[in-house]
Amino acid sequence: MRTMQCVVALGAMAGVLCVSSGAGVAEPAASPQQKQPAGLNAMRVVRDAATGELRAPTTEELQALLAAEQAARQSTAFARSATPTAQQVLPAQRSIVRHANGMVSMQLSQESLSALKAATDAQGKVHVVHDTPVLKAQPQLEEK
Amino acid sequence: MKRTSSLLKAAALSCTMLLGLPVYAAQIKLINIDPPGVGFNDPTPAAPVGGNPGTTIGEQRLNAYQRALDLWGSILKSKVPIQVVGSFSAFPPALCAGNVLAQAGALSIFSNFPHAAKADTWYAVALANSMAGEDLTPGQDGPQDGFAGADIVAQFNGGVGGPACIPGSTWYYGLDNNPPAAGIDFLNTFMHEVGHGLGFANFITETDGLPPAFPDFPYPDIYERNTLDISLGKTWDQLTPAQIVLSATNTGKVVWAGKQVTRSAPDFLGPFTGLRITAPAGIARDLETGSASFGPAATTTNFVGEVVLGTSTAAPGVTDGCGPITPAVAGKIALVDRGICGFAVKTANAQAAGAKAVLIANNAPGTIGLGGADPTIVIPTLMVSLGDGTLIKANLPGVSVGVIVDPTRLAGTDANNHVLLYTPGVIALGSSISHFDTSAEPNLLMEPAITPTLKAATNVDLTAQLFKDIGWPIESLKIHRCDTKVPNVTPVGDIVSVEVAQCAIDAPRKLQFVGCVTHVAAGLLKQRYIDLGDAARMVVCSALARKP
Repeated sequence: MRTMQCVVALGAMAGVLCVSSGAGVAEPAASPQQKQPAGLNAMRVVRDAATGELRAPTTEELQALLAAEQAARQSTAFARSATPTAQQVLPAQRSIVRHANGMVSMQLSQESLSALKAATDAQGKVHVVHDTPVLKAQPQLEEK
Repeated sequence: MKRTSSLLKAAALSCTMLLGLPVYAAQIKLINIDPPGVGFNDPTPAAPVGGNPGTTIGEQRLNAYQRALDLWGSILKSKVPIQVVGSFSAFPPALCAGNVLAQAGALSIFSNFPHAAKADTWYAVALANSMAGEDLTPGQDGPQDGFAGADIVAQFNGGVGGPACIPGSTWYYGLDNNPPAAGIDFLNTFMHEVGHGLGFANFITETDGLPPAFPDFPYPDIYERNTLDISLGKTWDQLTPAQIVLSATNTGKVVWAGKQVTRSAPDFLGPFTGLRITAPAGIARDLETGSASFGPAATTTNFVGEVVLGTSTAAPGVTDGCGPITPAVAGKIALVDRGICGFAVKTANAQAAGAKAVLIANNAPGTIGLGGADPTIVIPTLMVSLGDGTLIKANLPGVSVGVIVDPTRLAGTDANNHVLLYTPGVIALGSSISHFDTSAEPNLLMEPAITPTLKAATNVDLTAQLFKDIGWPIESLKIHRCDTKVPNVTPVGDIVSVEVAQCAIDAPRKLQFVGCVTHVAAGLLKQRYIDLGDAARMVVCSALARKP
């Protein structure tokens, strides 16, 4: 994982330097604003223990899912993934470059990713949803 | 425009590609980062499906992925190739456990680049390249550069359907938008995700309202400049961060202000259907609702009448509907509160008391879908927001509601035909604002859920118009090497080159092909999407085609 992160970080850094040199004189990268962690962008569903159906998680379940995913990202097994994940393609932090011609560029970071998830409705139909799932005529949330 | 099946159209487009007709313009290229043997390179044999001729899983994935890229490439104009970093390897177990299907987004944004349409405004890199007419990050597309020069990352979970990864589901790689029951339509899904990467998204965080490079370069993005809060009468680039945070949950009051989408909305969207307070006149209004997975759908005939509070027979102050309800609701619409028990339980209790329908008042802002199952329920149920529920209660007795169809108003728009953006009562990062609202009907490609009625293989609804609004030039239809100058997408999103490709299949002989294209041109002319000169160029180009 660290090796991969280093490779990606170096690649990203090289990219910034290339842009800078190509444009002439670049000012030092500004300090990008820290934003929400990537996990908050994703829609998550859980399988209801009682009904066996997928549904939106409760706040507690969502926190547990986020923690598990964060742990997985940091795990050795994840690092051995042969294909770089989207998180690994994107740097952990945004970087900004102001170019000599007045152009400004910002390399986006992991929190910019849009995630799609699967949700199954009461009829067993699979739906593809972003964050808060709002499904027409086939809702999936059940009060408990 | 919809005279042929989507399967035939998919097959036609495949054949057209084999014939080498240059119907596509902007090149959108996949940078395949999968290692040998997995993902896009999976050698597992597969039978061709839905117009996808691939004979391995990997081939089918590549075909479907490239088809989506080609479709967008046929609509949007750029002389700079768009680079998409993609993979189809299985996601790690933790992401599978979270039912993650895909992750995608733009890789960088630019402002104040050469030929930028608006100064001090952020644009997604692919659009910035198109406007600039040059690659703003040349030669940095590979892994050695961290893909810094690529434009979009789009990774899909190749492990879907495995024992530990959303079992029972499977990707559908057909090109005809016709998946089986358990199939997830990859083409629709990918068209949606690439749409975000091409600029259908803002780059602000709605929870703090701050621009992406605050404080050094506090510029809005082009999407914000078209995001209008009709309560304030201002677009988001004119709002303070605090106002943006509030606007992000101003349900039903945030719209897309761009002229192209607004102009095309009446041609695509149907009449508004929804729940309205009809009495007393002083509180008459349309209500945001959530529908139920149990019982019949609410209609203009089964969901109309007087609202009565569903009070417990055991405790007069209890209105949660979780126990027997007084017969005061008989023949009326019972209003009960969310909480304590399942939604279907509440409706069953109201039904037992004789209610004709049920309104469940949320205990939080906004509304949600009502899950649950009970085959004995024969009356409809809708949820209303906490605020609307409180309003109704405050005016009881004497409140009447009804599901109405309003032909004077479009589904999913405000009174001025501005298309609503998705603005739930609670901010959903990644979804709020960066999608069309779910109240649009027919469903739109860029709503937060990929709905089964979408047909992105042939139609991208109002999405192409939004791209025009943010500055994307629209590609023209080319037949062989002949440029018709006709926009390759109609105002309602039909992709004209798909129709012409269908002609190549339906009419294999040249004269027949010309006749078919003439028929397509006549259809466009009738709809007033093109003029007579445009139609003539289409016919001439079809006649000049070496071979259809």
